[in-house]
Amino acid sequence: MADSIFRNQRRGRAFWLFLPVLLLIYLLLFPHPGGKESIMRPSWAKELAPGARVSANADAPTWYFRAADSFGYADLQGNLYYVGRTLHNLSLSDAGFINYGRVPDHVLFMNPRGEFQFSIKSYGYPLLESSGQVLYSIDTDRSGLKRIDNEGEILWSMSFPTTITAITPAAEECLLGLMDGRALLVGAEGDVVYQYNPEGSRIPVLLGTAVSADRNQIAFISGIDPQTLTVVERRAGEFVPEFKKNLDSDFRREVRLSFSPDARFLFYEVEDGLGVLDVRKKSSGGFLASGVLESMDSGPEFSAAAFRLAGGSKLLIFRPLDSVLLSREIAAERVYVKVLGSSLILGFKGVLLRCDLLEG
Amino acid sequence: MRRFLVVCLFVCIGGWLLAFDWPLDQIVLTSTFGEHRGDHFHAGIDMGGGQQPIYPISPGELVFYYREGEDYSSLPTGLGNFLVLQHQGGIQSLYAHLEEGSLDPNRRNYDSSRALGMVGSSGYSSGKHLHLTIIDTEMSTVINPLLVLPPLPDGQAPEIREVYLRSGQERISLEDGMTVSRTEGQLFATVYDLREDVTFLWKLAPYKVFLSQDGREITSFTFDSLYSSPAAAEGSQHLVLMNTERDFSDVYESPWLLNLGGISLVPGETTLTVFAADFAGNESFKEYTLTVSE
Repeated sequence: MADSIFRNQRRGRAFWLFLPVLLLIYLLLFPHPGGKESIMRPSWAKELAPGARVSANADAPTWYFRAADSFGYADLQGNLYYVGRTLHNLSLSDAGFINYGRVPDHVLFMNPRGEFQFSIKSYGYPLLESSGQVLYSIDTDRSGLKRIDNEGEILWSMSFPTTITAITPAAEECLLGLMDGRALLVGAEGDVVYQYNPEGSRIPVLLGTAVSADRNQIAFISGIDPQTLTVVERRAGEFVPEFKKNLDSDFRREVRLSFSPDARFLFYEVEDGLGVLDVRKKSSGGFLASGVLESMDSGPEFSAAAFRLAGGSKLLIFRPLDSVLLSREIAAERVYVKVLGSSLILGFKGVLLRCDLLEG
Repeated sequence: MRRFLVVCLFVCIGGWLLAFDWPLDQIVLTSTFGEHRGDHFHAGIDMGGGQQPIYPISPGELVFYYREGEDYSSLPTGLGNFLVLQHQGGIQSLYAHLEEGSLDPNRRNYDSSRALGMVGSSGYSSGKHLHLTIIDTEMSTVINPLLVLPPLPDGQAPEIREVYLRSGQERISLEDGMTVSRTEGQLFATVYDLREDVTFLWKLAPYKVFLSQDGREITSFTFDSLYSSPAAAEGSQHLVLMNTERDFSDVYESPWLLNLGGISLVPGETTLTVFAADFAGNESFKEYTLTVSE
């Protein structure tokens, strides 16, 4: 009897030791959903033929897109309002676009339906703020900047004994990065509202700029040895450095960085993917990806980035800081991404595609 | 003035120590520093001479590059494919309009013996050429590259043409020995330099321009360096010629037409002298002795 009890006790111990292994195998074979599952469901795809126009009764809100060497305006129903081919360069805004040649004499502002609005003498190359309400001209040698009204009158101009490396227009203001390492926030009247002077790096150079949608946060990547990420906050008209971090990168070109719409996160290019800074918590993370960051956008529901690979692209859809919803290589090159609510717009050669994020 | 002297000192000593060299083997100077560019000074020099390798002006480190169609840029650029090197002494050199595919983005250090790219016509360009800008980052000054590069032979003097006085709506073209009524106004002159190695009439900016009245200096400016004037920086930032604090709109009326300043013609005899020199030291002048009546 005692022997029998002893045998039963031994069998029980083995069972309890083996149970975690059984559980692990079960979980691997039959994974239980750990919350909502997310899928991207294609909604529509449109072939982009230059000159495409929408039917007259479509009047939904439009947005601009790029697709390799094409661009245009569309709505979420898939109506194409205008499709054009980029000449030498292009400046897009919600209110219209300027598509111009290499040595322009005058530049034409067209509305989202491709209809002529006004023409101005070209002082350099045009740059529209995203709303389309503010127009700048960049000297062709990148040494100066002008603000121009739609009559062609110069409202103010600035020129520098160095080269402009990066620019972020934001409503009536404009954040400039310069080759000498300075970042200047220029006000509506051409006045310098804030100036960041380089410090701490062996070679000062400003490599990328970003301004949050509420214009209370500005950020830039600057310097060589080390390269640093700096976030400055505007509080009651004062600019206070909020965050500074040395990066591992060694970029010698302009880098992309942008805030999420609510300014909670800052996305920035790193050499092996995408860095993400939680501006509020001052904690950072990121996503590994090979290739060069080609395009990125973020919305309240998710963010998306496309990386250029040899012969294709890698598409990354994620939620900061560490939730990857989709990571997939696709055969298309020069992929443009735009996030509109729960929809992802993808543009690539000859095609515009809408996918919707579904969760359940 | 102190700033100007410091730059001059740098150019003399720094130029000798750093020993900058021409970036091309076959040099045809097609545009000089300070020329009229619509609404700003040309802040460098342009060189033709056909497609050829481009060499760094001295050993340097890559600071920034851009390749059209390859690299992200938040702003449109007319420089085409370009790169910027950092040299000793806080000097940066910028090479623009490079041939597509000739720029190596992975190379960090450059010595003078290995090409950094090929002359091309990318960006805002109508023919193959190299645009070179030299910046003294410590002085925040754009320097005329001819100040630090080896001398370029040139035996042809600048041309001075169409000297006239604008008084109100009236334009008085000056001729030596003429009689004019008492007046005052702005004096303008068309001044440009020519070079022997370009056989057709290809105009370049002069290096130095001077106006005197009866031996008294009215205006003098030299296209040697540009910087942001501290006075202008209060409101907005504008580049001015360092030695005179004159900005673009103070210097140019239109391409080659220079504003030489205001003069007064009072009854009697007066002599106006317009002088121009190129970088090699070739000089021209025109003298107008005028009789001024009541």
